[in-house]
Amino acid sequence: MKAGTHIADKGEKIEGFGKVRWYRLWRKLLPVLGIAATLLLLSIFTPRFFNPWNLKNILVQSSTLGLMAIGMTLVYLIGGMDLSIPSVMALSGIIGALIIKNGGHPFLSVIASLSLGGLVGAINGFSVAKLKMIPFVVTLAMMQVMSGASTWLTNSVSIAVPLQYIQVVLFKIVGLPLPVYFFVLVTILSTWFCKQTVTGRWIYAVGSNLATAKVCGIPTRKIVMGTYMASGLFAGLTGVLLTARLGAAGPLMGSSNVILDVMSASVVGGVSIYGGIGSTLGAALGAIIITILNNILNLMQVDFFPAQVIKGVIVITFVALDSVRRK
Amino acid sequence: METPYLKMKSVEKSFPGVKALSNVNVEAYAGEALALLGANGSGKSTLMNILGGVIAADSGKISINERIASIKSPMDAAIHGIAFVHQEMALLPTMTVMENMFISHFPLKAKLKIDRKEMRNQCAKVLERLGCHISPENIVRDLGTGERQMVEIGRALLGNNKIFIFDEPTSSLCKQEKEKLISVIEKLKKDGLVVIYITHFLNEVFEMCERVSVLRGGEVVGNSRIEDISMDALVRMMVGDIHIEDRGSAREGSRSEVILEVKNLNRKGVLKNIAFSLHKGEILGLWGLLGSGRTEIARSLVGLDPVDSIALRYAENGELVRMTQDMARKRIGIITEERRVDGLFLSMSVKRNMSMAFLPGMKKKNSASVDIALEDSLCDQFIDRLNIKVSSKDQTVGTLSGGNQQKVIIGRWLEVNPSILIMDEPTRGLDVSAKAEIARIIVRLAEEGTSIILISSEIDEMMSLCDRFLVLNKGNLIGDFTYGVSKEKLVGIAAGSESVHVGGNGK
Repeated sequence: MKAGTHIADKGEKIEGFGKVRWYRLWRKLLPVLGIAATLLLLSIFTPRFFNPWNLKNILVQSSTLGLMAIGMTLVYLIGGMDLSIPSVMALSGIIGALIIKNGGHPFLSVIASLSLGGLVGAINGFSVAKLKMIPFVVTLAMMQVMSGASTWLTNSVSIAVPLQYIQVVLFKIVGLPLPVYFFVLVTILSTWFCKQTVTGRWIYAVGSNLATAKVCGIPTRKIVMGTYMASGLFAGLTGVLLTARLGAAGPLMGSSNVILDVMSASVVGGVSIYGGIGSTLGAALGAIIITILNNILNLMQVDFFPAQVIKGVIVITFVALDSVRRK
Repeated sequence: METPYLKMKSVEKSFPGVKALSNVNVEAYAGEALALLGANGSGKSTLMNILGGVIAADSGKISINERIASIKSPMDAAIHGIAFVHQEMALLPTMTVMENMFISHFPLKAKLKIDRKEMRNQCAKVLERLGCHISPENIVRDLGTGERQMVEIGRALLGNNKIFIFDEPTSSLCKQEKEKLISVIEKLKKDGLVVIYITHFLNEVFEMCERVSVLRGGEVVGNSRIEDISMDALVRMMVGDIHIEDRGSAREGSRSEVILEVKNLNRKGVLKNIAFSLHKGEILGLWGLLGSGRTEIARSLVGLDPVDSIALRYAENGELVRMTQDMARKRIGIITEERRVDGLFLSMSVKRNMSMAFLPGMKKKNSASVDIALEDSLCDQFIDRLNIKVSSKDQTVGTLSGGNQQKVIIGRWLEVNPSILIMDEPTRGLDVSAKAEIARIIVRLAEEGTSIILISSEIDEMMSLCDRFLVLNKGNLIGDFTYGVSKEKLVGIAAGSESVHVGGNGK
């Protein structure tokens, strides 16, 4: 079973290679560039937007949204979806905060948060991969379970975490807190993972055509299971970071409008909800764009509800573009 | 002399590059069943699609009840009382029997509300006429295959149709259901209706048809009353005597060491106790009709289809050792029947498609990442070796021609270089030159020592490529022949004209 026994050196250069690639890239980037340009234009007229404090704030906020969007993107890539991300994030934060409040070691608290995320992801993955349940239903119900548990455990009261804990998690390097570095690191690693490794390629294959992937001998169940677990794990990590940033954990931080932001970040970043297309780098950029959008709407003092309308319309537009692209 | 109820005269049809039908004359009489026979690609489906208004003939006349009928759409066909009983049943599984029967013309009360009572009464009457003991209120999903077919026939009867076309109606029926169907067809004939019966099973033709028309290569090669013809003569008509390149004897392969042994392969209702062995470097043909279990065997070997039991042994260092289906999937390459469904990643590039099965073998040393340089060079190598026509290896595979798509899939497995390769209909839908090219590749692979399990519906292709044939009929392995067996024998046995014992070596 050894290939490469007789690799002939074929010096012939295939033409048009570069051209096709650039054209594809250009078409992929066009919608994102469009929305980025619009935001740039808007930002000029927005008071205090270019204030360094505001820009830094955008970066910090993008990092938590971005980590969740990267998790969601992994699941989108295999053709699934994970609606439970924000609620898992909230419950992870709450469990972590409860452990500290009851005298547990902060390290133990972080491990507990991450484990909860991974465990819930594994349950989601098992339901979809092995029990062949529909991802939408499974993860929607899981969202219900998670947010119910959050409210129940906390009585809707936020649980504060001590300052030392916050200082460790939000430790600043060159003026930027740790979550930003996590965000950058996870973006780079996940992009490398998806594009360069065997498992990454398999993720795209499963989302592109599950039946063909099986015929190619790809362990499709493990891949599906793995992406849901990764998504849960990232939700857990986000729970830790967000709890530190807010100084407390409560059920509201996983409210249902967060899931719309996570979805928006992915689809604006060029990820197809039908599977097989997109990248975690795109989702990370999408998260920054969505955060900027939120920021501008906020600074321009647009009310919460009209803001929801605008964001909803953007998601619909990008999903429509995705549908057109597939034809 | 009685006049035919349906007459198709001098029907011609060409598709780009192919003459599908030339000067076809067929007649069917009221109160009789006409068997329409022919190998795959002989033009049966084209002819019936013309009658059903699905495609238009280039020229020719159709007359029904001595009047010229112009059939330009399925609507026209329905107006002339032509009804199809489909092979794959076109029913709505979650709805009731009566809803299925009336789906296109519900009886209404006050032009608004569906008249359920009327519907139930009419449906019950039709079911009774068919001698079928199911309730109009049954949900179709809960019915057996035979009962579902009755629902389809019932639907056709309700439409007051005169001409009933049955396309392979018995291929998925059990014995009792088949007998039931035959008695229903007898009833239809007694009521003066016209039955056109398309089948591959010759014994059924003698059992229930009055006339037979045989098509081959788009021409009618025989019209006869059934009592004037023998089964042997029918088989000869179907296969013709196209000259096959004689290569004298089977390749070395079929006499060399066993590389794979399959035993006790069972799947309820599909495969019965299949056992065979595969030799190194041989091309083993699985021959049988559609639904005979040939594709299911292929897919079972690599775990793509569920099985009730299977025992695999694989040659390793000259010794046969037990192998699970999971292990088989790593050692056996499979080119599936429907390349667009589970053969390709249509939106991906040629390169990505080709490397997909061999990725773990392309890992860089001490790293999880894929060696892009190796991936590129392997892809280039096989594009070159298989002569795949692409503008670049980054071209989207969905934009290639069928032949080139098939070669991409072959290239995928050549990268893995498995010792066994299964090919299910590798030349289906390809033009003549692409077919020949694929055939050459298959022979070359076998000569290089790869063992190949080949499935094809085209007897000539099988005859010219295979060293050995396993013949299947309704999930049973009923024959094992070496190169040199006659075409008539293979076709006849698969169609159930005679029975042979497993292992019997026909000449």
